[in-house]
Amino acid sequence: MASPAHNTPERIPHDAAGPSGASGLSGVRPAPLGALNGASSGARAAVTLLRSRTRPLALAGERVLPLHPDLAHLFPGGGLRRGSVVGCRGSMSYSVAMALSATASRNGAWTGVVGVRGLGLAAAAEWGVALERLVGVGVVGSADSATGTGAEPPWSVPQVLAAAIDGFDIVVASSGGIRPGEARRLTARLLQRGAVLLLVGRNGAFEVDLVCSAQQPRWWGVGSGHGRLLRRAVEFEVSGRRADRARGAALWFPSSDGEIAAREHRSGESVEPLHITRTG
Amino acid sequence: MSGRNALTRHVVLWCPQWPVVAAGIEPGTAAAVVDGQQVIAASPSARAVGVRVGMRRRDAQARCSTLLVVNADVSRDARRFEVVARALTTLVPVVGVEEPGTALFGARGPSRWCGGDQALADRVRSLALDALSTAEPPFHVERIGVGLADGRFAAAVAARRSARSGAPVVVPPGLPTTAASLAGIGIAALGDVGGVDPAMIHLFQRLGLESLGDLAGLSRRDVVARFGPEGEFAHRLASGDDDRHPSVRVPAPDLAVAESFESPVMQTASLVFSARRLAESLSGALGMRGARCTQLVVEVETEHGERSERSWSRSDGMGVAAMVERVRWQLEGWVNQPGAVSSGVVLLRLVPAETMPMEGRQLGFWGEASDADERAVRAVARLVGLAGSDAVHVPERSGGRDPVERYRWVSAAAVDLDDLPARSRVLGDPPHPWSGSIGTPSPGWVADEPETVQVLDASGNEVRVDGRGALSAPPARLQRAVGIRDGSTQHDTTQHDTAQHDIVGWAGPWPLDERWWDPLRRRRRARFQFVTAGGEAVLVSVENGTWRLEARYC
Repeated sequence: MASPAHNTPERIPHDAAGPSGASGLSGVRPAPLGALNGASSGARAAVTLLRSRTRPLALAGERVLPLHPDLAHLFPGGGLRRGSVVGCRGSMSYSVAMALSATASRNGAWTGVVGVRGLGLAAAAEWGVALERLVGVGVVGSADSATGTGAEPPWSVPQVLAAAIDGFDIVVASSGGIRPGEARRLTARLLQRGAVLLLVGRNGAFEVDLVCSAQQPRWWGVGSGHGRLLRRAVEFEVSGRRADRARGAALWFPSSDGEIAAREHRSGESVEPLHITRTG
Repeated sequence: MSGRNALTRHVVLWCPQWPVVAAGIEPGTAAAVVDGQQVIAASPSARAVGVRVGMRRRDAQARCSTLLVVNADVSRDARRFEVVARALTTLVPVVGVEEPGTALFGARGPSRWCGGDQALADRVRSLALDALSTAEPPFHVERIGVGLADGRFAAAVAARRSARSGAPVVVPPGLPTTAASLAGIGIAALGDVGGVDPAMIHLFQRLGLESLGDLAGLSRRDVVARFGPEGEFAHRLASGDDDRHPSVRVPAPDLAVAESFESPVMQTASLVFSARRLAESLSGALGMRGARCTQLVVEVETEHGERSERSWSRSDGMGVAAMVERVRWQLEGWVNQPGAVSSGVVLLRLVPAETMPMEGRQLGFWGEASDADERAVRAVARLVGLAGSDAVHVPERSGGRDPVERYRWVSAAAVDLDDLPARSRVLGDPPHPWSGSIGTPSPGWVADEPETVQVLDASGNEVRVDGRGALSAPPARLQRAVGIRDGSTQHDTTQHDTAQHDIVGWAGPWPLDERWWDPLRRRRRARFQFVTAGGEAVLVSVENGTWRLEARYC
């Protein structure tokens, strides 16, 4: 094989992954490129294509999980930083958690839902969460759902959360039943494994890096006795200790085609829901 | 080896295009069942306009713009086929299911009981047709084929001929008649029915071998010299003197595993969990012998002596998850039959009927299971260990008009998570909305047990809905009992805890009359969407004058 020592072949830019030399397939990289030095650009393009196809979908070294473009610009780093804890607040916390996990999930990330009851699977699918990579622990009602929020599940919540953090890229959970020491250990584990914890509801014992909320919901499409829910306008806000400042955006959440979309924000004229009144 | 014992006479019942039948397509609808991008079955109306099995979805839609495309779902096919398999149990105790749509069993005993092969074939045909037409809801099957011959392959080929002609086909016993019945059949049958590698069949065709007779006419020695053992197997099939792969063995009977329950088990979920334990020990025992199970007999018995016994085949062997999946199909198909099960299950038995030597498994390289997927599947196993199999769930498509029914959570222990491509095909595409379903978006939170609420009009009286869906007055306020909190997690519940919400917008009713054929499970409801003054939207239903909060668009 030709020695690649006499020159350095041009580096193929590695998309946003940074130093990802730790990935399992890194071994194939330098030698073929050196051997191809001087080969046609077609062959080089083929190698580039080959590499993009052999790359695992979620590299351990990838710093951020991708977000929908209309959400990404609100987040420092343009995505969900691996190892971070993100709080999903407000009355629409379920939608926020699903919207945050959808893009990464579609790109191959696994999502674990721990102890969050009543998550609408149809809604998750519509937000874009890949259901074949969704796993729920303690999500289906049992005896304790009758007594409300206080009941303890029959298994150890911190242990299950730790196992979920080990296995999945995104963990959606509630902070109930976690003591401060356990929360610190789980946060350390998140950083080590590179997962993202989305907390639905209160922060509890966790120190939350970012807080996301959707506020001032307004629904379009429903009149009095006719129509159906079509789309919802919200003010989406991201703040917290990892954000340099609070950022917000006016979004369709979802728009009438089920996606997130930026909303024209013109002096409040389009913000009032359209109530069609029937005449006669 | 040519001196293998005379082949067992088999009856094969074949329902063509079973995936279409199982999907409940009405006659006259042009529909196709699609697996990935490929059509695997098409209804008669679709075939009439040129849609063919094996065609790409896009091409099929180009031929027929009104084509109804249904996603493939093997578990649906298997559950629905139980109707037919059960009808045949009046003739034999164990009915084998090769794949949903094909049932087979040995013909010797039942033939004597019915008074001859022809009588048996007629009886199988009428039993199956009766079962299909009296099922609830009935199946719309265009035709079925019944074939009776020496060996499974010849019987399956006869069943296909019978499906074309409409009358059962009985091949008289003996090698010469069997070979003669096969001689005129196109060589593609080796792949469709016999499981021979398609590449080899393609090669045969290019060499000018058009029919099974052409292949059988060659000397076996020449075929072996040119094509090896796989070619020999094809030659044996074509000449009608063998019907199973040479490496298939019948394992020792002591490998069967069983669990009997002291107290009868009523829940399918806990049976499936027991099945998993059994399958693990069976798979371990087979693994020690370097074998994998290609045919599995599942026996279930209830306290009152009702039995369900099926034999399941899979040519490339079954792992633990595949075995458990088959147990689940059988149980679900069985318990959903009206009047089939009247008490709890006391015995569950898994018997390996055929095995093949284990070969190495080639892991996917591109676009298949990635590192992250393997890590996640391992994590699921660990979570099951930590929290118990009744706490770990994965989504499954179920179909239904309510948001809560469109998908459901099933125990992760009962699903083959390794087969990610198949799961993503079933779950991936958005489901076709059932008629009567409320459109998207779907609610983010769905109540486990819907809480009773009160819906009041402007003057404070409860709103009533009559049988035609007309309201006594427009709803103005939604009132929830104070002190009861929703079953969801710890929301910042300040605004939900208030007792009253003003309704600023509402839509509906979407009336729903489900399972009207079943007096016990019939439900008649009307559903509404309400938007409250705070901008929150909820889905409520009214049934017999009682309003319930079903879901919240949160």
